[in-house]
Amino acid sequence: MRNEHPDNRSLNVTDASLVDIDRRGGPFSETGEQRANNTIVLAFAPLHKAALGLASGIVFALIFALITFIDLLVDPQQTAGLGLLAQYFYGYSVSLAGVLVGFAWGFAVGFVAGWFLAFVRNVVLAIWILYFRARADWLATKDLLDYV
Amino acid sequence: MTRADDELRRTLARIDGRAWGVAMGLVLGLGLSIATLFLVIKGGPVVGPHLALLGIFLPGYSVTWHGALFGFVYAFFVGYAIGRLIGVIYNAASKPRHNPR
Repeated sequence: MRNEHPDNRSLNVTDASLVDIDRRGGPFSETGEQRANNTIVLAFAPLHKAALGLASGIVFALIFALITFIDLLVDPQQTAGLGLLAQYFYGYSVSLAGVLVGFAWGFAVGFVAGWFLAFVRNVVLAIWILYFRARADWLATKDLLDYV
Repeated sequence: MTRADDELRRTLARIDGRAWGVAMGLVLGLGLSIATLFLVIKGGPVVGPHLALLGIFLPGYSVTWHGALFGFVYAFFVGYAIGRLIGVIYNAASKPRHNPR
């Protein structure tokens, strides 16, 4: 059975492990300040690179296979010229074998694209956090010399 | 740092499938309709012969004014489905494994 803490719902977090933390008197059952901190931690949580790669890989693969299959079904006089994709994807053709090859190529391309998207997003987020931390430190200490 | 804090920090962000669906839908929908409108406005003896090939996959779509609207609706639905699917698979694949200690 899945229990949802109100905080978890608002954060779209429904994982059982977090609810377990809550039951042990952990972060979600503590003060408002700690709750706010947890919210920030989750808001800046990194994306899982392999998971996003897998998700986009599967979707790209399905799209590639599906459009090849649809192109196979239509009138040969009226094809969309998908065969030109063989210029970039070795072994691909508008045929039943091409559906499988397209699926494999779609997965490979989608995986790399998704993995890279998550990687770039995490790097940009990390730089952003670093910038704000450095700025906060500077603001906290900029009047230090006034007290000397 | 407590064990709970550590676990929380290692928790990965889950993505909102609906938000991804809407975002992907808008990107694809606006992309296709802008591309269509650009070609229609540009004009010429044969308007957008290559983009018109999308009509094979999207029945009813054409490089015309109403085709731009039609293409937006089509591409939005396709993009929405793609975004939702990515959200579902990502959330399933990134679910943290709980190691009992």
